[in-house]
Formats: sequence, C-alpha cells, structure tokens
Amino acid sequence: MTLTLSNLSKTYPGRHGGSVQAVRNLNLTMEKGEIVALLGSSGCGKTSTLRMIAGFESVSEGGITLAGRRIETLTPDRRRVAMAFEGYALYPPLTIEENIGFGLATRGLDRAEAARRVREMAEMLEIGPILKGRPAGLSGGQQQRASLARALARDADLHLLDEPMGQLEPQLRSVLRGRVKAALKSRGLTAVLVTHDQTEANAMADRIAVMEAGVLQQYGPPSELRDRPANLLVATFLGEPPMNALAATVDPAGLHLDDVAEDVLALPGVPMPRAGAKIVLGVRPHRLQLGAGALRGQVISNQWLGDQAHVVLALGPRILVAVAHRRVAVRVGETIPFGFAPDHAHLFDADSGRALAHGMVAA
Amino acid sequence: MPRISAILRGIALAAVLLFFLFPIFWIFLMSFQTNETILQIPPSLAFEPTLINYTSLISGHLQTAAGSLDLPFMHNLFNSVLLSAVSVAVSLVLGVPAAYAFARFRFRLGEDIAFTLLSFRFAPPLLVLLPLSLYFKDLGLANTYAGIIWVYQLICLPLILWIVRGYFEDASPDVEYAYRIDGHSWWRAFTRIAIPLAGPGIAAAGLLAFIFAWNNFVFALILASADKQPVTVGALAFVTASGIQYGQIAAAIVLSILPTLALALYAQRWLVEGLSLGAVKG
Repeated sequence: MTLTLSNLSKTYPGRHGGSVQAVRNLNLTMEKGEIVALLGSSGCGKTSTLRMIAGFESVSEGGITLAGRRIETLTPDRRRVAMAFEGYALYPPLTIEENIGFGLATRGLDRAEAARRVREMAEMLEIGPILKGRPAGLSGGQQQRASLARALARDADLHLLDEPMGQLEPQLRSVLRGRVKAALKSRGLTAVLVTHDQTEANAMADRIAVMEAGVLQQYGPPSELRDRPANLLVATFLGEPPMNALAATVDPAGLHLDDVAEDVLALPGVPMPRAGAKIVLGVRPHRLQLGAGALRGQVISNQWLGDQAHVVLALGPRILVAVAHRRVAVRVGETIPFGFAPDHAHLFDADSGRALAHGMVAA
Repeated sequence: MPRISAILRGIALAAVLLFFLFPIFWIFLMSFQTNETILQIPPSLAFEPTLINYTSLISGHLQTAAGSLDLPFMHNLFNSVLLSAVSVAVSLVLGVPAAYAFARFRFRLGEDIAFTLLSFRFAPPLLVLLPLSLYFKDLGLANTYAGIIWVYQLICLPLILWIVRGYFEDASPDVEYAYRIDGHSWWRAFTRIAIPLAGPGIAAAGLLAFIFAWNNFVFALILASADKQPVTVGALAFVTASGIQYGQIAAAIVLSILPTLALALYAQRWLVEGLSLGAVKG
C-alpha cells in the first residue's frame, strides 16, 4: 500500500458563516506502481483531494499515509511528491530546460544525470525544440507539456497529475497518454491523475475513483465502472452519450415503465427487486436496438456524426438516445419499434440511486 | 472618420497635458524670478533669470524687505525625505507580509481586519488629531520622528496593504506551490517567488505611499514642531510679515518635487517590468 487516504475530509469556511464540505470521509488505497484517476465534474472534490495530498490544503479530518509515513501534517517540501499543475506554474524567468531540471538540482541529482533526464522528458513530450524558450513565449499546450515534464523528471513517492493534458491537441493527447503511461509503468512510479475527461481516465488509469459532491462514488478498474456502476450517478457520468435512465415500477412479470402506456417489459435473467419497488432502468445508448423490440418510440432527431448515428427517441414523456454504428434509415416524426437485450439492463433504486442489479453483460 | 477622431483625440490629449503641466512650467519659470518680476502686471516671459531663490533656500537665509530671516528649508526637505522614506519602509515591512496573508489565506475575521485597516484611510485626520496629540504628549511621542512615522502608517500601510494584496491575488499561488514541492520552505517561496512576482505592485504601492506621505500636511502640522517639520509645513514660513515670497515658494516647490520625481523614475523600471507578468499563462 503506497498511498492510503483514511476518512479524509476537507471543510472550507463558507463566505457567510457555515461551512462547505469539499471532501467527505474519503477512503482510498493505492498500490505501488499503480495509476489511479480521480474523475468527476468540477467542484466534485478531486482537486481538493489532490491538494491535500500535496500539502497545499490542510486536512480537516482524517489521515494520509504515503510510503509508510504519515504525511498530512508535513509541509509540501517534505512529502516527497511531484506535481504537474493544471495552470502549469512554470517559473517565469527560467527557460523550459531550467524549469524541468529545477527540482532535480534542488534534490541534489548529479549534473549529467539531471541533463539526461531533462532530454529524455523533452523527447517523450515533444518539447525538444523549445527547451531554450521561456514560458511567456509559449502556447498553453507547450507550457502544459513542460509542466508535465518537470513533474515526471523528478523521482518521488507519488506523482500528482492535475489535468495534465487538458490544453493539448486531441491527436497529440492520445499519443502522449500512451507514452506517459508507459514511462510511469517502466519506472514503477505511482501516480494520481485528476481529470474530468473519462477517455483520459480510461486510457491511463489502472483504477478510477469517481467523485461527486465530495463523496467517493465508486473505485475500481475502468471495466468494472462501465459494467457494474455502483449507482445511477456513476452510470450516467461515464459513457458518451450518457446512459438512458427510465423511471419504472417493478411488476411480478417484469418492469412497468412509468408514464408510458406500454405493456410490462420482461427482463429474463435479470434479478428483480420485490414487486412494487420504484426503480430506475438504465440502458446505454449503443445497446438500444432500433427496428425491433418491445418498445415503440417517436423519432425526434436522427444525426449522422461521420462514424456513428445518434437517434433521439421520445417514449411517452421520456427522451432516449440510441447510438448505431451505421446510418439508420428512420425519419423524424416516425414511430419505430426498439428494444434492448436484458443482458444490458441496469436497475437502480429510485430514491438512493444505488445499483440493485446488472444484466449479465451489462455494459 | 478615423482621421477626424484621431485629430480630436490629439487635441483633447494636448489640452489635458497643457492643463496639468502648465502650472508646473509656470512655477519653474517663477523660481528664477524675483518677487518684483513675478508680481508685475501683465506677466512677462521676458525676464532676467536669477538664482537668488535657490541660493537663499540652500544657504538658509531669506532676504526680505524687513531684513534677514532664517529659513530651515533644507532641514525641512531632509525631514520630508526621512519621514516619507522610513514610513514607506516600515509600511512595506509590515504591509507586504500582511497583504500576502490576506491574499492567500482565509481566516476568521480576516476580511474585517483588512477592512478596518482600510478604514484608517477614510477617517478624517482632524477627527483623530486632537486625541492623538494628547496621547502623544503623555507617551513622549509628540515631536519625535518615531511618533510622526507611526502616524504616517495611517497613510501608507492601508495603501500598500490593499494594492499589494491585489497583486498577490492576481498571481497564481501555483508557482509558489511548485517551488515548495520542489523542496523549499514556505519562507523561501514567499521571498523568492511571491515577492518578485508581485514586485511591480509593491513598487507602485510604495511609490504611491511615498507621494501620499510626502504630501501630508495636517499630521505634521499638529504633531511636529520646527525641527521635525517636513517641507509641506515648512513652506508656511514663506508667508512672511513683509509679504509672500513667491519666488522662494516656487523654488522650494521645484526642489521638493525632485526627490519624488527621482524615486518615480527609479521605480519606473519595476513598473514597466510588471507589464510582462500577465503573459505567464498562455
């Protein structure tokens, strides 16, 4: 166990008295060499968590153990962590080369080795040509890569990466994701990645911690989050477009979709809650099959996005999105049959949002 | 159309410049004239320049129709420099760390304390002067440099605190964090990163505070007697029994502008450097 967060909480004083709890009772452990992504929308507490680990924010309650040391009361310079900043935070008067090498010099690494590291990082992140430049003259993407290089050049017990690729071109981003992950893995480094980009989290992380409103919603490998979301929040947060959610009532024979004058929907093979229970049925857009099935919806729009079709359907007062990977020949206004395999159904409690059951091949 | 607006702009700028600079130009001319040529009607630009005003100020003897008069102008000037410089220095030492604290940390009553300090700026000086002068007599601070410098903190400290606070707030704390995580203490991050980044703000605030302290009249008038008076109060001596010494007043103004002007020219280097600070984030 390299990093352990135990009952970690952060409370900020509110502007007008009272207080705001940014992080609540967060428990999370990481193995050495693991990459964990903290994923969530802005204000979910992921950045506060990162800043508490780095030592920029005091810990209101709970503890942080890193490599066998309690660090929550140590000053940042003694925590042995490295960090890439969302706002780059490069030293304005230094060149990019000096910026990347700065922490190495402080840590007493010998000159030749430090220079070799700087070159290696610059090559990996494709900033070789700008090493002699100063931050003010560079684009956001270049500064961001310099900030990432500065963090990765360091040896540390833990590397904190705060939205490290947000400013990069999409193509470069996907190339660098792979390279950065490979570099972390080959050196056996442990890293916490804070991001709101689920593609980045899926591509880079061994495990993802989804946070919302300061509370950890689910922590597990990407496949588990996709196939067995712990609650409706995780289910609708992950995946693009988001999972369709339909209010329903459990019937002895299956599900009755609320506000929809349809027959009972049978879901053989899905463990059902007790009859009468109020639930939410979740189905991912690309699992909806158009043209055949037990449901009938009116087409609201049909868009071809170049590699996939998004068809929006009205089912009574509910709106659903279906994704197909070829063009779909349906017209707006048409009412078409559609359905989904019970294997892909997710059932959530209507009140708490907690997952009740997942189909066999849920995602 | 753009040409007409450019011309109008030029005219407006010229008018404003003339409005502000002409009095200074006129005072400069006056400082090389005797009272007789200054007071002649109509005024004339054709006069024989004389250095008598400057020599009498620097030597400290004023020749008037009523006889010779001692004039401690140079000592007043020294007092002004001393009082303003030390006041600003004390304010910087106290105000910059305080501004940093107010900018970076949220603590109980923080805003209230900051606002209270600002409120010193809008309390009318006359309101506090009477009790202050009585207390200063009891404390033995009346007519001491230390006492006046203390009171000058009412002028300098809020100004520096609030201006510098703004600069600290504008600078992202991330650079300091990066520096700390690279293995440096809080104090080093403050002195090596935060202060240089806020340098232009500190220079601007210091300059402004210096000018405000320099221009102060009423505190020094009440709390300082002759040997501690700055030029603003000392200038009263030019209103003599035999008339107002316009030539000496003009020369005194020119001389008393010089230190502030020199400081402004020196600080300009820092002020201009600040313009490139905004380009830190791409």
